[in-house]
Amino acid sequence: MKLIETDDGLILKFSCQSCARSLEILAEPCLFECPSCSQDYKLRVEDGDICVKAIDKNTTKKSSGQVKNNSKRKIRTTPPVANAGRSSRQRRKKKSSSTAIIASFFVTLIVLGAGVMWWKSLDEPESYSIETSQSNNDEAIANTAGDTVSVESASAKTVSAHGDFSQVKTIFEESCVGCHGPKRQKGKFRMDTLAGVLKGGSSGNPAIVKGNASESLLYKLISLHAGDDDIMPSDGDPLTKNQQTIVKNWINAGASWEGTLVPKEKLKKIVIELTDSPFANKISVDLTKSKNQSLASQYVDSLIDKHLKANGKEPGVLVSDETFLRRAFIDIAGRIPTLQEFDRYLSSKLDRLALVDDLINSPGYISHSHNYWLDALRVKERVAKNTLETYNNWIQQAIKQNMPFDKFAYKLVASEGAYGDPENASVGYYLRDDLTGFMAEDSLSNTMQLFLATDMLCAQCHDHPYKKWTQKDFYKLLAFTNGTNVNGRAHNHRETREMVKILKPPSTPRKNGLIGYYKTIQAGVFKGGSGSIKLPVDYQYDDGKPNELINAQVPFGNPVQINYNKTQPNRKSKDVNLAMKGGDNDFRGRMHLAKWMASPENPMFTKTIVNRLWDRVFGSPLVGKKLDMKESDMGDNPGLTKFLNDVMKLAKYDQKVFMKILFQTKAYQRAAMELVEGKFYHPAPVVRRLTAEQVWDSLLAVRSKNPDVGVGQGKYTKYNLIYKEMVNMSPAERIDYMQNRDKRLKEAKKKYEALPGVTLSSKSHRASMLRPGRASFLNIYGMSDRGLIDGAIQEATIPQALHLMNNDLYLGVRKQGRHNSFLYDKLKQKSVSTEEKIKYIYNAILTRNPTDSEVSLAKQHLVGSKGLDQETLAWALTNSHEFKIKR
Amino acid sequence: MKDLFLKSDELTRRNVVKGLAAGLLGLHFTNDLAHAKTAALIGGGKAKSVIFINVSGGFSQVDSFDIKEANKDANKASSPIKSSADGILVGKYFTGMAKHMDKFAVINSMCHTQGTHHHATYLTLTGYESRGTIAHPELGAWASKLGGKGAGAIPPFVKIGNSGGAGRGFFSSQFSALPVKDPTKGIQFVKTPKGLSAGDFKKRVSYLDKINQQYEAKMNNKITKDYSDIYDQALKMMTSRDLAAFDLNHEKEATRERYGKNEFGNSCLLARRLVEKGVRFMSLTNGGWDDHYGIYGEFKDRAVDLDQGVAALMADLRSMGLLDSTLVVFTSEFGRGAKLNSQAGRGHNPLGYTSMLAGAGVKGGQKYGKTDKMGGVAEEKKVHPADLNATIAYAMGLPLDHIEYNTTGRPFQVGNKTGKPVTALF
Repeated sequence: MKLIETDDGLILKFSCQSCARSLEILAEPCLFECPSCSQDYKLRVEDGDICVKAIDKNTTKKSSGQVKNNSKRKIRTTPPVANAGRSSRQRRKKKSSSTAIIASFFVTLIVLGAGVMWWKSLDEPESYSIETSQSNNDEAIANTAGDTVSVESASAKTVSAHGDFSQVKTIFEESCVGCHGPKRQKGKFRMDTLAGVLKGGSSGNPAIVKGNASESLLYKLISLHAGDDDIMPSDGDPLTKNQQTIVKNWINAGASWEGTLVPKEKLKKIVIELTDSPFANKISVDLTKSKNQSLASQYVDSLIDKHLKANGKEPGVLVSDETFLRRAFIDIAGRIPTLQEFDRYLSSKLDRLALVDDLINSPGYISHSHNYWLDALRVKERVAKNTLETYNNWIQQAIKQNMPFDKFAYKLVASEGAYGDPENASVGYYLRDDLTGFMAEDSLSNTMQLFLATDMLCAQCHDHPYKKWTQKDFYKLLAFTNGTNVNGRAHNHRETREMVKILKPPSTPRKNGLIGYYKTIQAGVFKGGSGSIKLPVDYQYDDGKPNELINAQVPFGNPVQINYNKTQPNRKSKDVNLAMKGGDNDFRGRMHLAKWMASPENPMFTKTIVNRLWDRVFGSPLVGKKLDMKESDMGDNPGLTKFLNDVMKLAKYDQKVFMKILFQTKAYQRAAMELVEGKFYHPAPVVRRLTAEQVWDSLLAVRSKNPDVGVGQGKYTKYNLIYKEMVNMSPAERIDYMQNRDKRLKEAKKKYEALPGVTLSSKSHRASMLRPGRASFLNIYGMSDRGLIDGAIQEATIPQALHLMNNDLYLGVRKQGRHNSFLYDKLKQKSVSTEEKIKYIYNAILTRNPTDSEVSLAKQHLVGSKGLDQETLAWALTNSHEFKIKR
Repeated sequence: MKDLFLKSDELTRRNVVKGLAAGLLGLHFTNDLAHAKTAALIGGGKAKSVIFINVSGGFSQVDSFDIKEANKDANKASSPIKSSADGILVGKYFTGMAKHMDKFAVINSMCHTQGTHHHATYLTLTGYESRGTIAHPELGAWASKLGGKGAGAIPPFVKIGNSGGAGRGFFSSQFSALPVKDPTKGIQFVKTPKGLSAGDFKKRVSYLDKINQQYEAKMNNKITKDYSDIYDQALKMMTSRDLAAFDLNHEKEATRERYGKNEFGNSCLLARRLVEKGVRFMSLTNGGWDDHYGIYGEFKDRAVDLDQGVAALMADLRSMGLLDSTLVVFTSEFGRGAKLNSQAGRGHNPLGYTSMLAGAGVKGGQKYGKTDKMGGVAEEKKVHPADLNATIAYAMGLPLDHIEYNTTGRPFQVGNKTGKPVTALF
C-alpha cells in the first residue's frame, strides 16, 4: 500500500484484500467499498497514522449506541475507481457529507505533519461504539434505500433483484433453512426451494406473494417486534432491519430464485481490527493448525516488542533449555520433570514447541488446570448438604475433554437438573453456594467477577460508590437467578412419602438416614430463575420503591430479549408483566443470563478469559485486575489485548490452543522478571513462587516414577452410579437398593467398568486429587481454602519452612521399597562417580546441571569417609530458594 | 439519587477514598488512646491472654447452664445442681465447673439467625456473617494484627487441636494461627528428623545457606528475601527455649490426670502453659455436640471430658494468679431446641443459647440476659455473637473503632461495626 501526494490531496493506493483489485482513495476518514467485490472498508486517521480496516458486512449490532459525528458515512472515491454501477454504491454516494471537505483538510494536515506512516497498528478502544453507530447508519440507509428502489425505474429492477437474491440466499441459508429445509420441516414448511416457499406451510397459504411484501406471511413474520411469540426466526436473534429490508425488496422486486438452498451455520462474526495481523480480514482461521498458531504467537511477540520499543525498553534474553524445560513443566503440567523426563528432553537440543505440545496433552495438564479451576470456582470438598465430589469430577472431565471455555461457562451458569446425573453435575456451581441467605447475591457477584471481571459487589446493598452500578442494576441481574431452587429434589414428595409409608412408623435414625440419603441422591438445582424480583425492603433510591417487583435485565452489552409471554396460554395477549405477577418458573433466567454472558458479543467475556489465561501463563494480568476491569480497559498494550481477544474468538474458546500460542511466544521464553510497581510491559513471565500444589507435585516428581498415574480417570463417582441405578426404580425398589447399597454398588461398578472408556476409581497422589485436611502440607503452603475466587496465596510462613526442613519424606534419595525413585536407581548404579551423583541430584531436584563451582562446593563440604552425603545435598536443594521459585 | 461525583472518575474517587482512609487512620490513634483509657476505667483491657473454648456442634443450653424449671425433660434428665455462685444452677454433669461458677459470667441471652454449623461457627469466630465474597479474620487474627506481640518464638495466635474457623481472613499470612494439630506433639515438624544429630542438622543448614547465597547473588527478589527471613525465624523457633511450653511431659502425671489425658484435656493444659508464656490468643475446640438423636445417650460421656478440662484449667489459672489477666471464653456456635424432637434429640437453635466468660476483670457469679420459660428463645438483654466478639476485644483492650480495609477498600472492624461490648459484665 502506498500514499501518493497529488493535487487532489493524499491518495492511498492499495489492493483489495478479498478480490485483489487495485484501488485508490483519498486519504481521509471514510467508509467505502470495493466496486468489484463489495468488500467494505473503513479508513481512519489516528495520531497521524492512516489505518484501513476491512469491515465485515454482517457485523451489525442491535444496540442503540450514540452516533458519532466523525464516523458518519462520507464516501469519496477517486476517479480511477470506475464501473460503479451497483445501486448500493450510488445510494451511499448520495449520503456523502458536506463536512467531509473540512475533515479531509484537517486530516491531511495531520498526515503530512506526522510524515507518512504505514498501516500501523491501531488501538481502537471505542471500536464497540463505532461499530454500533455504523450499524445504525446501515439501517438508516437500508430504510431510505428500500423506499427509493421501490419507486425506481423498472430498468434497474432485474439487475437489483438478481443481485439481491444472493443476499437473500445468505439470509435464508443462515437463519431459516436449518428448520425449514432438508433436515427439518418445522410447521411443515420448506424454504430450500422456491416451490416450497410458494407452497407455504401448515397455514395453507403461500409464504410469499410475489411483488407484494406487505401481503407476504414470510415478511410479516420476520418483521414482527422482537420478543413477539410468532417472530421468525424463532430461535436466535431476529433479522436485522437491514436484512428485513433486503427480503422486502426482493419480494417486491418479484422474488427471483436460483437453485436449491442448503442450511449453513452462521459464522461467528469477528473482524480482525489490526490490519497488519496475520489474520486481518479473516472471518475464520483454523487455529488448531500449528502453522496458524505460530503466526499468531509471532504476531503477539511483534506487538510486545513494538510496545517495549515505543517505551524505550529492550526485550530480555531467552532462557536456556534447562530453564525452559522446568518452566514449561511447572506452568503446563504443574510439576517439575522427573529425572527420566529431564534426560529424555535434554539428550539433544530441546524442541520447545514439541515439549509444549507434549505437556499440554499430558495428564499433568489436566491435574494442573484442575487445581486452577477448583481455586477459581471455589470448589470445596463438602458444602452444607452435599459432597461436591461429583461436581469436582465434572470439572476434571471438562478439562480432560478440553471443553471450549464458552461452553464450560455456559454449562455452569445455566446448569439445571439432578446432581447425581453425570450430565448435570455442573449444578454443583449453585450447590456450592446453596443460595440461602445472602449467598444468592454473593453467588451472582462471584459469577460476574469470575466470568466478566465486573465487580458489582457494593451494588448488592447500595449504589456502587465508585463505579457506575446502581443497586437496581444489581437487582435486575439478580432477577435472572431469583427463584432458583437449590437443593430441590429431582423427584416429587409423593414418592418420598410413599417410601416413608413403606418403611412404616415409628421412624428411627436408621430409617431417617435412608430417607436423608435418598434425598441427597436426588438433590439438584431446579426452576430456571423467575426473571423477576422484589427490590429490598429498605430500598432507598428514587428509581424504585421498596418491595417493588422488577424484571430481569443485564447491566451492559446487548440487552437480553425477554419474552415474558412464552408460557401464557393465550398467546395473543400481550401481558408483558406476567413475570411481575409473581414470577414465571419456566422463564429459565439462568439460561438467558448464561447465554448473554458466555457470548463473543458480550464485551467483557472474551477479554476476561484472555486476561485470566494470560495471567496464568505470564503471572500478571494484561488488563486491570483479573476480577475487576472496565469495559473500556484495554491495558497498557491495547493492540495486544485486542488481538488476543480476536484469537480467543477465532480459537472458539479452546483454552489449550490459546495457551499454546502464548507458550510458544519469545516473550514466554525470556528470563523471568520481578513484578515491580509502575508500568510493566509484559516482556517476560513474572518471577513467582510455586503454588502449594506445584510444590507438592514437584516433590512427588522427585520421589515417584510416575507422578501422574491415575490423573483424569474416574468418569463417574459413586453418586453418579447410585443415581443412574435408582433413577427408574419404584419407591420399594429404592428402599431395597439403599438398604443393600454396598453390595449393589459393587455390582453397579462392575457393570459400568465393563463399558468402554469408563474408569471409576482413581489412585492419584497429585494435589488435585487429594483432600487436604487442616494444617496439611498443601494447606500450609497456601492452597486456597476455596472460600474466595483465586484464594491461593504464596506467602512465606514458618510452618512451611518447618515442613520442608524436618519432614524427610520428601527427599527421594532414599530407598522406598518397591517404589524407588529414578534418582535412587541412578545413584545406586555401579561405578557412579561423585560428580555424577551430584549431577543427578541437581537434575532431579532443580532440573539443571550443577555449575563447576557448585560441584566443587558439594565436594568440598559434603564428601566424607562414606562418600557423598547425598541426603544433605538433596535436603539443601529441596529447601533452597531456587526450588520454590519459578524463574 | 445518583451522585455524579461518585461516578465521575474512578481513579480520582479512589484517591479521595484512600486519602480519607489515611486521615481516619491518623485520627484513629487519638481515638485509640481515648478508648484504652475508658476501657481501663470500667474494667476492660485486662486480658493479656484469651483462651477461647469452642464447644462445637451446638451445645445444649437447657441441659447445662440454662436449665428451666418449666422444661420438664431437661430438668428430669439433667437435674440441676448448685454451684459455687448463688442462684446459678448447672446441669448435673458439670460438677467440676460448678466449683468455678463464682468466676463465670453466664450470658443466657445469646442469639442470632444462622442455623447451620458452618455459618454459625463463622459468625461466632469472626463476628461477621459468612459471605461468598469476603473472608473475615477471626478474633485471634484481629488480636495478632492489632498489637499482638508474640511470646518469644511463639506467635500471638495459636490454634490447638483440630479447630475449624475462618483463620486470618483477608489479613496477610503473618497473622494466621500457628496450628498445633495434636497437643501432645506440639508444633508440627519443629523437631529435626529422627536419627539426625544436631551436628548433622547444622551441617545441612550451613550448606543450605551457601547455596542460597549463591542463588541470591544472581537473583534477589522479594520471594528470596521473605524465605530467608522465614527460614531464620523457623530455625530460631526450633532451638527456642519457649518450645518447652509445648511439651506436656514437663507436667506432673497427677496434673495430666487432673486435666484428663484426652485431646481436650491436653488442649486445656497446653493452653495454660501458653498463658504462662504470655501467648495472646489460644483457640481450642471440644466437639461432637450435635445431638439430633437421643441426646441423653452420649451427652453425659462428652460432658465428662469437657467439665474436667475446663475445671482443671480454671483451678490452675486461679491458683497461679493468672485469671486476673486471662479471659476464658466458653461458647458454642448455637444452642439446641428447648423441646425434645421425635428422636429424643434436640435440633439446632440459634435463637437462644448460652456463652460464658471468666477472668480478666469479668465479674463472676452473675447471670446476664434471659431466655423464655422453656429456655429456647432469648428474651432479655440479647447478646449477638458480634457483641460477644466486641466484648472479648474490649477485655483485651483492642481498639473497637479501628478500621482495617481489605484489598477492595471495604472497611472492617473487630467485633463487626454492629457489635457492642457488654460492659455490664465487668
